[in-house]
Amino acid sequence: MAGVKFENLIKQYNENAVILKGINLDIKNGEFMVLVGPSGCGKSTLLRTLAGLETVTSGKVMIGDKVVNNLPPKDRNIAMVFQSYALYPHMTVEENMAFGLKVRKMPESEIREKVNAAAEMLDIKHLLKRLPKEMSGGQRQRVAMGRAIVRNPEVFLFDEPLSNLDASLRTQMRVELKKLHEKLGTTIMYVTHDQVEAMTLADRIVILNKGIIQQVGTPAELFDTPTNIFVAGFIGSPSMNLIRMKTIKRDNYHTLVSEGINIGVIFGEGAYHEELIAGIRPQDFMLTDDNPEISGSVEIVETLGRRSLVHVRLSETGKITVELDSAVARNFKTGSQIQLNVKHEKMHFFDAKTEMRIKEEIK
Amino acid sequence: MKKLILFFISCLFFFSLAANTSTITLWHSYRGLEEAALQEIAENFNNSQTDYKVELLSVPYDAFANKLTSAIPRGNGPDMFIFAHERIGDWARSGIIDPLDPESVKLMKDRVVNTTLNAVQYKNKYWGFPLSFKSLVLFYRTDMLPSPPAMTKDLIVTAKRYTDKSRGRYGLAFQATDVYFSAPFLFGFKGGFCLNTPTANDTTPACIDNPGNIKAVQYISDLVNKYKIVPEEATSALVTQLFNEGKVPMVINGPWFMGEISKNVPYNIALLPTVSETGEVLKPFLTVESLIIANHEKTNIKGVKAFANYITDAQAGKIRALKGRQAVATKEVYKDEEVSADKFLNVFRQQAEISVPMSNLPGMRMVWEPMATAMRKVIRGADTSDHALSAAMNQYKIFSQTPPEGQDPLIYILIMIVAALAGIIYIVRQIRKYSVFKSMKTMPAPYLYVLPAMFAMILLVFIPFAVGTCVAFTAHRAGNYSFVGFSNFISILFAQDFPVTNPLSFYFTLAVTVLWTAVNVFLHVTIGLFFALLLREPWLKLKGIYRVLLIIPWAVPNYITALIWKGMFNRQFGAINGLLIWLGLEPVSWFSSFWTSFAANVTTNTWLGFPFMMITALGALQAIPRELEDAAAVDGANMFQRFWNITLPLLKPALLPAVILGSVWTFNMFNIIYLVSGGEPDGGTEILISEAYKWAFQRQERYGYAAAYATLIFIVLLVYSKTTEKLGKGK
Amino acid sequence: MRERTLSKSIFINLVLILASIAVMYPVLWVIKMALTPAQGFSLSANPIPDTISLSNFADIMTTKDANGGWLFGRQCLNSIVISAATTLLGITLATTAGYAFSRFTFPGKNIGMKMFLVSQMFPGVVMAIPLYILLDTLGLLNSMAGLVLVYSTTAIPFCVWMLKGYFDTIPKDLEEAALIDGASQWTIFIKVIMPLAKPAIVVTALFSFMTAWNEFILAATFLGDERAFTLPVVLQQYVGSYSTEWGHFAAGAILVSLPVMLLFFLLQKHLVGGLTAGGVKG
Repeated sequence: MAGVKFENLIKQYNENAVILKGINLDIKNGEFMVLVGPSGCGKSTLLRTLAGLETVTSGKVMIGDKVVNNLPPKDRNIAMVFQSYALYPHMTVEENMAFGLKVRKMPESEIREKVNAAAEMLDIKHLLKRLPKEMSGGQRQRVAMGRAIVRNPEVFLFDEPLSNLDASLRTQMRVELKKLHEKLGTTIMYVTHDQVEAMTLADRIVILNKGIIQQVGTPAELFDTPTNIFVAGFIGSPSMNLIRMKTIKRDNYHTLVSEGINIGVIFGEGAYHEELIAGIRPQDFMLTDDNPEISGSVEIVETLGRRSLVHVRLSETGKITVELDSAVARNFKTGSQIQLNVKHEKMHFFDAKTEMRIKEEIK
Repeated sequence: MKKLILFFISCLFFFSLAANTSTITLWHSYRGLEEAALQEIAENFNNSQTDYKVELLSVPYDAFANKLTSAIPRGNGPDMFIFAHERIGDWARSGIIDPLDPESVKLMKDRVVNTTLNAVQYKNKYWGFPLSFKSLVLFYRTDMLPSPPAMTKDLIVTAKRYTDKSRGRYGLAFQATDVYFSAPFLFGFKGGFCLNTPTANDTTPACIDNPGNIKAVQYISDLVNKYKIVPEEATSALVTQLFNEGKVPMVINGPWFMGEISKNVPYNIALLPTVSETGEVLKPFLTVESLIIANHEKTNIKGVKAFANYITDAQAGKIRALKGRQAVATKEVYKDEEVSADKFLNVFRQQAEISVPMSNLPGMRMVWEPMATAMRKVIRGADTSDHALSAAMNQYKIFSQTPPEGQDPLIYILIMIVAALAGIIYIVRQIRKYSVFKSMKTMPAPYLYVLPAMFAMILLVFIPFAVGTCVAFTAHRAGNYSFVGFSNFISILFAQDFPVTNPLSFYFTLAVTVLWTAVNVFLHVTIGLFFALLLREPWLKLKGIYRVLLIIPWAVPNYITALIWKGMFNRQFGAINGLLIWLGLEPVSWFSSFWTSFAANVTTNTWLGFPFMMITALGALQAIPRELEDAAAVDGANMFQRFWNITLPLLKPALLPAVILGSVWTFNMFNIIYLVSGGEPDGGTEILISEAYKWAFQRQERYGYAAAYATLIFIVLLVYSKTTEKLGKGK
Repeated sequence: MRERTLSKSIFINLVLILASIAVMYPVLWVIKMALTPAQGFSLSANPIPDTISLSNFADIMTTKDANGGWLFGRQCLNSIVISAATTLLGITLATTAGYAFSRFTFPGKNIGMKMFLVSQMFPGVVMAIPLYILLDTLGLLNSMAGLVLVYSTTAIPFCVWMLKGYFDTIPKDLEEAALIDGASQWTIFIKVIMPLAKPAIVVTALFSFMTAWNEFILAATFLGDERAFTLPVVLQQYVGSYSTEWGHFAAGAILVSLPVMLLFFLLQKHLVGGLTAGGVKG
């Protein structure tokens, strides 16, 4: 087993198509690392450079302490699960799983042993003689994982493996994946565009946008201290409200003002910004009767079950999403007025120009 | 040890034997009884002496001339071969055969029937040992006709008695539109081609529109149209069938016909009758099969002479006469009791005396096509005899134009060198521009994958083509090629001798070819795709059987099936007209107008060609998920819309190569035209490739002209593929 | 819309039966001529033979060579060896080239593909004699190898184009998966791509086989020994300058076409692919 390291990795097809713009990333041995980002951000490309399916323009890719830039995939000791599963359609499950071992000339008996063990682990023993087309999506998914497991690689690569499953199966498979990782303890690099998947599975998450790493951290870190508005908006469901505000000086404090919003704050040392972006998660609002910091009209109420989402219109352009207990939210109808306060300690502040987190204290 | 020595000794013995006996090879295209007789003689010869051993090789007639002209100049030919005498002139001029030495000539003068020796004479030399001769005679069924008519007047009267067109009965059958079969009438009316005079030489023009020929052609037309005693579209198959079924009592045909007559049919043969109007006897062409000496270094002249001596003597002659059923040229044979008792052989022998040896001069081969065209025209009533024959004479003049004079190739060579240099520079630049070598180094895999196939293609396709193309810049004259620059191309593209609408014109033929290709490919694809779609239904039982049945046209050699289709299009006896009559429609004379003749060609070729498209489409359909069609069905598309909007666009990439290649193949589909319509009417349905073939092999031996035709075909196809490419991109 | 309904079933079967009859009608004549002992060309509207005799088959199948060997058997073997070798060589060269054209982008690719297409446009008329000289120079005249080479190059262009088109439809994922599984390019090609391209390979194999199986002009020109002849040459020997032994020819034509039909019958189950869709759904 080994860790993975990217150093200053650049991938470009031509001058106008730079896909990865200097990636530096260190995945520890045994870590479950999830790469997440919107489509086209370069996350799959990054995974494929590690797999050896894409060449590197410059920089280093390392597995353990070995630079693998020029190694073909088969010499990298990795295994990969594809979004489409890429099961060989003309081979049975057993043959699919054994293929990688066979081409490595492993003895027949050992292959059978390994395939059986993996099949047992994934509960697909009864499917061994079937062809891919004779199985359901979930079963194929397991086979694809089985094919990766039997190889006993140093690193597992997953390229959006659950995106073709239906919602309930996806949840179930998520749990199994997590268990599997605990059992095997192998380093995993996992690509997804689904932040829920990322949050639930990852030891650490990498957020990638436009070929640049935005933030690396544990799910909690990303949730609590997003480093910029991209991360802030990407992590958390429903997403954080990001509101552009102006600062107005009062006697011994400042107020942050936007249409329908008026929040009093105290800037810590060096934290003063004339203009900034405030980030408030939908959960961090409270209803109030007087002196509201925010007031607007209810546009629509979405009930999720115990909790409900209330979409509040503040102005022509301004809009926020508020999450409330359904019992409370039930009182609001479309068009009714709503008055809110904000949990100040849960607020995030970002520079209006750089869109980076303002690290200094703002209360 | 003893054994080893014994082995060596036996080996030595064997080798010494082998060294003393030299093998001489003989190529022939005899079949059946003739072949058996030849084999027996060869065996007898081999047993009779130890100096020479004759080995026989039976070469298909269709490939015979080709094989000779390829092999002999390269020293791979046989020592000798058997062939009819009419090609002797060509071969002598090309230097691929050797004349007989004086000793042999003397021997032959003693041994063989005089007319046969005259036939193998060319430029005062004798070019073959006459073996046997063939000519037309009158066959008659003895159960229908006790004795044959001696005069044509009687023949017509007799024939009329048997004619009942509505029941498909006729009085006389022969291939009236075939010059060879009509020739007796030409000579009987004192016509002919003016090539049999003693002074005729290579440059003697044939005469076609002489009064005798005009009368004769009119007379043949009368036999068909006025007296209606001869069937209109008589092919050799039809003649045979009518005779065998007792629907005609008299047939004009040659000795080979005996092999086609059913065993239970009683018949006899007689000399051809005399023309009542002129008092001349109907004289058929005489063709003499001769043993010809191949001219190359390895030819074993002594061996050939020894074998020639053996096969032309009376003993071998008797075997050929009695076992091979041949009219043997050796005079002595007819003195044999058994032979002289044979009524058939004697009639042939007598007919040979009153026949005209087919000329072996170049003028002869150019006569056939114009003459046949004229005769067909007259017989189907499209033209008068004199007018048609003078048109034929004009056509003959075009065919017989002397090939262009040789030119100094220096300027052309300079141009070629400059062009080649420019080409090389261009290629080098392209290689640099796309840094081919660099990518070969960094990414060798694709080059390695392509290389073997590419290498084979360059070696076996591109190089031979380049060599072949060079011939287009030459003119062939008696075995010599002289450089003529672009003359061939110019005379093809800017021909002054005939208007663009003449079937001989390149542009007319090109238009026909394009139409032919378009119609065929459209039908192949449509029909092939239709069946492929039907055959993919997973629940269809017997799918396997249907599939196999539907590929049969592709599997059966098309030489025979194409001729069966020609038979089916016969005016009177064909199944197609039978079907039309059954449907209450008028029967169609398929080969007498352009469109129906064209339709007959297309029908045959579609029958032959759709299975290939069907198989290709079946393979290609496998790559298309049927969910897509289901989705379209849910969207409310009907069957046709689904096909047009979903299946077809998805099939396009896989089917396109088949369509492009299919059109290229159809463009050059020689066989069908040659076998079905034969260019009828008047050469109108000829396509470019069959036209090129005619120039090379049937008119003059204008190989350069034919190669220029082929090069133009290539250029046309290249332009076609460029345009389709652009169209493909445009979409 | 794919279900079987009675009317649809009847319609399709009816169409196919009619088509089969139409297609078979001319072929029935070939059979009739083959079964009739005479050597005439049958033209009567009724394609059912009056007499049934296997003498034509017997005649052509029992030919003997100069040493008394079984000539027909030998010639059969020649045909089979030459056609099989052509198919094998043609498919090998064409699959590799088709694969490269489908999977790689490399300078020279377009030109290369076009060259294969262009080669089909050369009219055969001008090629025969240069080819003869070439084979003679290479010492391949009179040999099976020479014919196999010539036939393969005739068949390759179609095969390359057809296979390239089919390879394009095979998802790239599968190759990448195999690459990661540790397979070499060659293993992937043999173990993954080739099995998936079966329908296209069947079509091209049949095509290559037919190219070699039915050709006679070149075979008759290049081969100089009766014992080396292929079946179509033998068949064409029955076509004489004046007349043709139609009974023998027809019998031969049937014998020549039977193996093709048998081959197709055996191969056709592989014509049904539909496997490539097996990745995600299907």
